[in-house]
Amino acid sequence: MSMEIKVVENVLKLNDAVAQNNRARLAAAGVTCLNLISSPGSGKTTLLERTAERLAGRLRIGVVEGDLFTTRDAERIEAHGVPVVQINTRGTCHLEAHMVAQSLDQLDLPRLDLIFIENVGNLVCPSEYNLGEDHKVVVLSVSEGHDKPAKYPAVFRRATALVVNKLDLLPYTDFDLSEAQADARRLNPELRIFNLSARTGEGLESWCDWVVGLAKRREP
Amino acid sequence: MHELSLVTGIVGILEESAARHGVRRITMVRLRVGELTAALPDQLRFCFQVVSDRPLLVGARLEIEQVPAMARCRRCEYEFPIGQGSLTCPTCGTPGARFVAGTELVVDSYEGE
Repeated sequence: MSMEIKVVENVLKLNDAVAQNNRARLAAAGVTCLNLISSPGSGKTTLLERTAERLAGRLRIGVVEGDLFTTRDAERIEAHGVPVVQINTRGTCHLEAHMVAQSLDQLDLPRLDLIFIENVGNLVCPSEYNLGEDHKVVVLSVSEGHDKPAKYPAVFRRATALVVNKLDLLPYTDFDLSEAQADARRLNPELRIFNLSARTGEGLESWCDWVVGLAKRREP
Repeated sequence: MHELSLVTGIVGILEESAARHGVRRITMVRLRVGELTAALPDQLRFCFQVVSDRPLLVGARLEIEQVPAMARCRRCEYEFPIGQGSLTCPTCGTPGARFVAGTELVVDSYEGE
């Protein structure tokens, strides 16, 4: 006999449950967690390298590196003496909470203040998968064009902060800084915006201060 | 973009529910897919075909209801469709409206025997 069964279940509920578990583990260890999301080539890894240098002695940080196939980014981070766990998604376009859960097993959480998760380079899919982070940070480089907030509203709506990177290249592009900021704030009025160049160091200090502030607030 | 992993989640939900309700064969599945998700209906159908070669799902049809993206103003509570990536209220001009529809990816119901 044929019957209709009502389900109404979120397809991502399993991911959300694992993310919730990650969040609880991190909170219990007093660790703040930031999920970095951007297009490929926006400078996430360079931002993390320069941030790690500046935070040395101020915060104990760890990094979870998402990458499709290679260990290149993780090697760059490791060179700065930062504990790093590599996740190879083997083609999956985003990180999922269970991947991060396995990475957390490999980090000495009580000895860390802050974990950066570098997501797979992609402005679409990573915004839909909660990983257990405290905040999403979207990184946008000026060479990508200022239309990205309007074109990818979901990630800019869900992020706490926006890093506009490669500010040193601004004179060579048509990127309109004020238009990008206005578009982003129309989506998300509370968005913190940091204009910086990870390469030259310009603007890095206020980004680092914000990160330190987040981590200190978490301390018991 | 990641439809295969989503479909794997859908199949997991169906298998669990079917076992609970004693359903041995599913003939039709209804999904609600929000406009703001990165899931494309055609891709979902294709991936569903790929994984539906198990007895529970052989021949099952996938019916997809696409849910338009809607936002609600934080000040005047007006609800409006999100076109062109704007979250500014067309009534009172307040920016940063919250998503109220279009982010869902839900197994709504299924038919089986």
